[in-house]
Amino acid sequence: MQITYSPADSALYRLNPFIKGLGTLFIILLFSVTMQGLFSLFFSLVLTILLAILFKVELKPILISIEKIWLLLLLVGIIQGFSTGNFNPESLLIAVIRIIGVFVTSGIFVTISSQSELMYFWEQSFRPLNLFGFQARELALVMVISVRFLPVILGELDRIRMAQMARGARFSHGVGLKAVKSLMPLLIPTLSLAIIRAEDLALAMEARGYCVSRQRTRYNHFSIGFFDIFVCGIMLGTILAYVLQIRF
Amino acid sequence: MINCLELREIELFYKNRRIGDKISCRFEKGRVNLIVGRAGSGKSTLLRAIAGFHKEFSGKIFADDMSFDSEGRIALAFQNPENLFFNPSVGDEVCYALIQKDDKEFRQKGIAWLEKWGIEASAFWKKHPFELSGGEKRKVALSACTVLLPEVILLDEPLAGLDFQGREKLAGIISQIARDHIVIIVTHDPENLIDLTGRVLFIGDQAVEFKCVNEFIAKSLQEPDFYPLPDWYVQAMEQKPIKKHIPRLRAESVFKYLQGTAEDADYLFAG
Ligand SMILES: Nc1ncnc2c1ncn2[C@@H]1O[C@H](COP(=O)(O)OP(=O)(O)O)[C@@H](O)[C@H]1O
Ligand SMILES: [Mg+2]
Repeated sequence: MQITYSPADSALYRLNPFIKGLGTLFIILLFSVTMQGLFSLFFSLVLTILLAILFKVELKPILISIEKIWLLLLLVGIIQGFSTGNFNPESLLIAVIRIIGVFVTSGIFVTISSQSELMYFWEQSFRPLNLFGFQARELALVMVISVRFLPVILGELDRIRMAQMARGARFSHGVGLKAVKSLMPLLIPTLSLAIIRAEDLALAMEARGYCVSRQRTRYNHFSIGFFDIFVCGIMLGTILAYVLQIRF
Repeated sequence: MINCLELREIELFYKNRRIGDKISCRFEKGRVNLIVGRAGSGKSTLLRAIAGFHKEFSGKIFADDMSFDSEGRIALAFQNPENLFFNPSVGDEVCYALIQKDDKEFRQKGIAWLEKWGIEASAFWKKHPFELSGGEKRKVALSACTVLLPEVILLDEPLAGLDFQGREKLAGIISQIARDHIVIIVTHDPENLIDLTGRVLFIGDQAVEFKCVNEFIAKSLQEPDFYPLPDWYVQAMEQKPIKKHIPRLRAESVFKYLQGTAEDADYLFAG
């Protein structure tokens, strides 16, 4: 099952897209750097999941997808487990919960953000670059298109792999240059199809008069509401509490 | 060499979701076997299942009444096979599968097989695959996909995207190959292939039907909802009640049929 936008109606969904992104980054950061120990990490993970359920987020695809990163979990867990010299199961569990926390949080962000919301988020995030003459909107468009077409290209890769096998190709034997060479039947068709698709897309957008640098109107207007300010408040409060705790 | 491939009660699934009804049929050597049906009815999936790439199905496949193992005996060309080109020349492209199998005679075999698909090896061997015309690309791609000379050849929409003459030529070549191979084709252009066809497997919403080509055309004429034949053919055939023989899907044959001067060659044969 794939993690994709699945619409629902709740305060979390109605958050300003920029605050959504900011909050996601904040929680990810929290999971990655916090030094509070196993119990509080586990509690944070459970709290995240409970809140998501409360706000009607479809969690099933995310939880199922955790299975796909089991190898990463195992490797990092074992390395962290041995990090202090002899094996320490607590370090292992901490590392695993950190990764699962980051994974679930990003999954929730993708689940609650539509295409245009993602676009808005990237645009706002890149905005400071405008000061240096960068086109924030152009960059945002590139990001959104790449994210959007990634599943398409992955699906195509799979089809081409099967089709090449049907005509006698064998993959994954040899090492180094030989391994790269055995991947050619996969890479060249996928790349050339992606380039063709990119050109089609560019032509289609141009034919509709799309111009990146021009000011455009928005179909969706995103405003800052009470709940947005509330979420910002929680984030600020947490940072403050953290700083105070370190100081004293 | 096997002469007949039989599907017994094949039921296809995608992630436990059933696709279409049970399929039972016998595909024979000698003439082309067609699979027709609406988009999404599971035609491509059926080909993949026969070739052993799609494992989620129930039922059995037999070759001459023995259990069939697809390993090394089947070639499957997916839709738009020219998308798979990755070699710098037509020769490399066609011989790729043979070289992978460490076949020492890859050159002779490659040339012979390419010529069988109507491409002159001496003129095309060194060309870059992207330099060819649409019809030539398709023929090179199909020959590259089937170069291991398997007993069963499965082609998924081999005529799609070609112009009428290209389709006619390719259909002729395919029917040549069907003389000594079991050839199974998924198509949306039965007009070009139906004259060359022995049997038709129709995968419909309500039912799956396996018929010889005469019966298939007769049923399509009698029941307008069954399978959409070309308009001109249906309208011409409305003028005369269908008798035992049915004319080919050619203007000339239909004309002679309506005049009552048709000869054997103007009729479809029972498969
Ligand atoms: N990768 C896939 N995952 C899930 N379902 C699929 C996939 N590919 C095809 N299907 C399903 O299988 C059915 C048959 O597909 P397909 O064999 O490609 O149809 P056809 O070739 O007759 O147009 C479709 O209705 C589709 O819903
Ligand atoms: Mg298909």
